[in-house]
Amino acid sequence: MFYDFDTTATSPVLPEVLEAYALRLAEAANNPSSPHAGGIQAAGHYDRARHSIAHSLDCLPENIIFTSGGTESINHALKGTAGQLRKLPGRVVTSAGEHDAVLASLEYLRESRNFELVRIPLLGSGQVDGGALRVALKEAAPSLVSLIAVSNETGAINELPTLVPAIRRLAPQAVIHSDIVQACGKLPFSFRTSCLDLASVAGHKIGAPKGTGLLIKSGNIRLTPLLHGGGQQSGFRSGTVDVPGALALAEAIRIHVSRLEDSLQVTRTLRQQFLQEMAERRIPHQVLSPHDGSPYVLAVAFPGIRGETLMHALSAESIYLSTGSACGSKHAGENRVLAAMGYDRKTILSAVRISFNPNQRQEDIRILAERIAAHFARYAIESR
Amino acid sequence: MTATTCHPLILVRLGEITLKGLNRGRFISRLIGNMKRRLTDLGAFEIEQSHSRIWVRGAGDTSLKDETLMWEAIDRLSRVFGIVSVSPALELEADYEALKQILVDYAQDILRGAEKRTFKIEARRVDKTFPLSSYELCCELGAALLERWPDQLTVRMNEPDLTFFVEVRDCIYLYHNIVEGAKGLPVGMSGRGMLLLSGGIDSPVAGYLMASRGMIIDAIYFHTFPYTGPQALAKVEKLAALLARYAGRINLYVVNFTDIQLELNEFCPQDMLTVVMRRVMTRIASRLAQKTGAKALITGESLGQVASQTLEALVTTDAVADRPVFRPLVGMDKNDTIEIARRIGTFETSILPYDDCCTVFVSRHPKTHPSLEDASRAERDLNMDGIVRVAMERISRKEIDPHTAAGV
Repeated sequence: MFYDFDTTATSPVLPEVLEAYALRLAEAANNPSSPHAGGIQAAGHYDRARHSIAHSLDCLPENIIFTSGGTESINHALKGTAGQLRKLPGRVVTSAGEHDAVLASLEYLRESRNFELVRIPLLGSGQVDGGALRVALKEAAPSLVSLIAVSNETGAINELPTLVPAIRRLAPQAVIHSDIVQACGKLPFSFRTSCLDLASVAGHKIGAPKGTGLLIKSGNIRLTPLLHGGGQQSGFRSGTVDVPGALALAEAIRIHVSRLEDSLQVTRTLRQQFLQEMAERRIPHQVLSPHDGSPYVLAVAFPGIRGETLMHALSAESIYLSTGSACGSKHAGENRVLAAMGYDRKTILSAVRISFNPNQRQEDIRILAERIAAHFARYAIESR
Repeated sequence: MTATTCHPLILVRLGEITLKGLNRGRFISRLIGNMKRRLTDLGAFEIEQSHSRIWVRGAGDTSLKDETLMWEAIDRLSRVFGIVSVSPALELEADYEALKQILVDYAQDILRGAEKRTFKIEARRVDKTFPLSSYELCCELGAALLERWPDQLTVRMNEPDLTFFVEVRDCIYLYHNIVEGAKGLPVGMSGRGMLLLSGGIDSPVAGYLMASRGMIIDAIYFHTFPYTGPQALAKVEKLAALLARYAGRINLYVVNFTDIQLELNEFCPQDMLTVVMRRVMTRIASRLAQKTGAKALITGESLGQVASQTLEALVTTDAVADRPVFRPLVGMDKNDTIEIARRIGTFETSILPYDDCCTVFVSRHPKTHPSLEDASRAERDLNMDGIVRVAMERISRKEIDPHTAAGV
């Protein structure tokens, strides 16, 4: 038994998804590219998965490319777009609040292909600075724009419904990608109305198995493949299609989208309960996340105790949370997203990331709050 | 002549211990004991000393014909202090015709590729009843190899690619590979020391250097959970296991230091916190050393390296030690320490990013030149006897051998 407050990093496979997945693993033994009856049956399952996802995320089935996860989707979106540019080297506009997968892919393009990389600063709210974005777009039209939909560090929401049309107006040629990993299934999303060209999804953040993911691509976008081979998935992503994985991902997305509003409401309440408990217990804390961000992610600092110390103490009691992003947490006191929001090293050192989700109970929140209070009382030291 | 008369074995050369006069027997039996312990989980071995050599042969079901086993054994022995070098060798009866045949077979294995090689034979006849002299052996055997591989081999006396060594004693020993050993003195010849082990680069190197002078190493680590996590402890265990490849089994004592650290933090002036912490650690290590029989403390301190390693700071810690504090790195450059750490394989683990307690409780402006009076004054509000007593109650011991798996 453990208390999982780190579901932004990864989430357990949902029971219904696990059931569907295991069933398909056991019986769908054939390659969907095979022309025999077994293959045709597998291709049918695969098609069903695409249609289900298209329905859940409001896109066309042919917009969907199954990938191995968020990192691959993002790499494919960015490098694949770069591979199609006529005018080189390209100019890329992104934000200071992106996930490492975006940042490192773009750094790669900068270093190896001489791309110009413009990183728009964040506001104190964790959102991209819209004014600075407009200035950068007017300065010179980019060929590629990549913005995170929901910050994995703070839950800050970039207002894509206003940002994307603005980008379209100022840079009509630009391909627009969004990392929607923390938005998909958690906040309302329609690929069609988002007007995005590309969107990246990771399965394991929403109760699908690790190794599943999506790149959603609007029909008119040309993309150079990352993987070459048998030409599966219209040549965009060669490699035998993982039919059980595709079905599991489709099921996870379907479940999340069908419960979306209820889940949001429950999660908001849990987050509110936590902050209330902190206040009632008089635990000095500073909420680093914006108040109107995704309720699934809460970055909060407890001045006087390092995030790492609190994480270790809670971990020994099987209560799991994160210090900053799990991928980057090896370097104490470094969190470029929180730093971009203007927080100093001392605040960042004392920050933790708590993930809420609708599967938690009020009792879990109470235990978390109680244990944080106990550890704070015992281990917080005078800051110097 | 068939190959059944030739047996693989390991030839171990001894260094300075051959010089040690009357203590020689003690040195050698200690060394052989250390070698046995290091090989024990690999199989059964017969270890025999004669002249200035030690010979290791497989016994029972254990055969050094298994090359993987041979090289694992050689790798382990090359880390045993007291050994200068190690060679995989063949032992055969003292018969020239047999020797010639086996040398050709032996060379065949080595010369599998088609590339040209230079070589020489280095023969040494200890048994003077053998019909050929050392010089004749070199000429005849060299000729035999040249005859077999006229296009591939040429003789070269000065730095050839291959040197075939032939030693004629009661039997003949043939080898060509010489693996450098760890040198030094066998662990156990110089008593027991208590190493203050942190997760850093220096302390494992300090332990290595003292073990190379024959010291048995006990180690003490101060764990400050939850300020440092389980990974920091696993890292220290891993470092101890890496060190144990040279020093043999290490008793790692882990002190639960959290309450003490918090007490120091509360009752010490901030600028003296590090000095006092090191004095407390020295006292605890001394007390533990009394119990384990360690006659010296060992630290990885290097003069002037950080604020807490100034001469004055070292004097304040020495003042509370009840036994010598060995600091083998005291006059060394950091780069040289890093070079040793790389060579003994601890560097990569040492630089893993898990903080040890030192980095959590640091004052921004530590006193770099504390006097003994400063130190005593800073400890005025502490119940030092109580602290040491509590620490002794919160020590756990873990035996670390070279194969202790640590999940880092």
